[in-house]
Amino acid sequence: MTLFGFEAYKTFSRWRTYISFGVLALIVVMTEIVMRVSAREIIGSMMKIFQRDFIIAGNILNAWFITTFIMNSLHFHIPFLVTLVAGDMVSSEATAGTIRFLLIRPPSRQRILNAKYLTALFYTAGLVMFFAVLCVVLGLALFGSGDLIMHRLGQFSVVFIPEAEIPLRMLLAFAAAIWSMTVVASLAFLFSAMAENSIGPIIGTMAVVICFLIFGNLPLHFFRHLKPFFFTTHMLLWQGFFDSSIRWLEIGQSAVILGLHNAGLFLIASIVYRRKDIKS
Amino acid sequence: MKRFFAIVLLLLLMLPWPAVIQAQGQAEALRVLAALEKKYAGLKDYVVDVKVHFAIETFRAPDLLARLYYKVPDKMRIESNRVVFFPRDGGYFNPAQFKQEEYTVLPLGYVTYNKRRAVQLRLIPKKIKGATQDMVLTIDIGKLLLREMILSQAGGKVIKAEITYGTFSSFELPTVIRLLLDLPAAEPGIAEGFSGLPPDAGEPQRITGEIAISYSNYQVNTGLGDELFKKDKSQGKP
Repeated sequence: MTLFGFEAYKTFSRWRTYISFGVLALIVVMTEIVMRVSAREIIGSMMKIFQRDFIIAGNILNAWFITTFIMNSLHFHIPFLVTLVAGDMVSSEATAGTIRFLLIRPPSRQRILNAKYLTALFYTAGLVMFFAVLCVVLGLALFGSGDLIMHRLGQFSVVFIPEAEIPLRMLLAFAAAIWSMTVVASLAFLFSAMAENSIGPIIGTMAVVICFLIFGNLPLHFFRHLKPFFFTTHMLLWQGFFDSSIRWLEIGQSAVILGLHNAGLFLIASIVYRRKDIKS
Repeated sequence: MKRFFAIVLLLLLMLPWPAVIQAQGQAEALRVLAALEKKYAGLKDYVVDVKVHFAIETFRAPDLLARLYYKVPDKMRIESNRVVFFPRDGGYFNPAQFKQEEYTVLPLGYVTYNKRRAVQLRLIPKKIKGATQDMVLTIDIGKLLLREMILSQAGGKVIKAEITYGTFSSFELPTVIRLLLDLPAAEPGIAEGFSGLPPDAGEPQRITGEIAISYSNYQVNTGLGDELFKKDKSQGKP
């Protein structure tokens, strides 16, 4: 726990840790302001398929709609921001030349690695929670509350979630989002344990995430069969909380698969780190 | 004399009987529409509470409650504290929408509807304003009530409205309108899938289902002002 405290202190005392929070704040603030200014246009384009057939009354463009809208881009920008710190967690010691100092001290390599990994997870959770609070608070201030309307763009498909149920579902969805982002953190952490500098793990992690996202969305039968095995597919488990009835089974399966990814990646990182040669 | 009768007979046989019958049918159709319009001529406006129930697989919503305001000839407004999706075509009763001069009216024949004699008319708008391209009305001749309406719309949409009535302030107004929908599942282009490849197997190509709208607490001819219908532009026509 002391080691975790040291690692957390080290991480959060670096100014670059806050770049992610700043970037996230900028994305959320800019998106919500633009959506506020062009609310009618956004509703027009999003609800185009329904506006021909239905008169839509009430506050559709509310804080919850905006939050889920921004959450849909979660798997693009948050992984990058997570890797900025998680990818630097272990490799920064090599870059700074402190790795030998660190590893000749009494705490075992595994304990040091555990502390670093916990810090990476803590940072990931903090980033998603910051994102959640900012989205919801700013959304409520700018757009107010209301029922949540979830729909598939261009499809005649709608799910209404009554306002009273939304806060709990939102809480669960963000918990799921944190869980999904920990896989990105674990991947970046593994690359960080392998590398001697921070650029490689950051670029490597993003390359893997982007490749899996592209493969998962390619309309080719080969990739459609493989899609259930991609961790990026299960990273969308939070969406299961926004169906008419919560899809617990699917969410549970995805959570377990992501958990196995976390365990596997951390295990490999442990093996790599324990065998790391610091003499040459 | 015989020759004269033969010529008259020949002339009678040469008359365009189908055209005469068609003209008679046309006149009857216009008479029914005019009578329907006249029946509701005194209806200037109404306010009613509506409950919209969706039974569509891809449209998962609880029953939605709202208040509907209508004023002749085509002003309509929906008010609700919550989000409401209200069917634009066929969802509310507008007796002033079948003006003869706006349609080409074709009689389709007589049918029995709920054991009563009814006439079926096809109305083709002379100028298409909304999505509806063609309407088939089933009108109870004895009671002069619009019982059923089939709307064919752009993009292959078909909506069938079945109307049940009650009497409110001496007007027969709907208590329930059942809309039976048959719509494409996606907008053209999107339905074909990205890069022209077929969408995922199992995704429906068409959506079918029902929307049942219940009407209660009618307030008829209360003198609604035009300004009521100008408040929210978002409810305007698409």
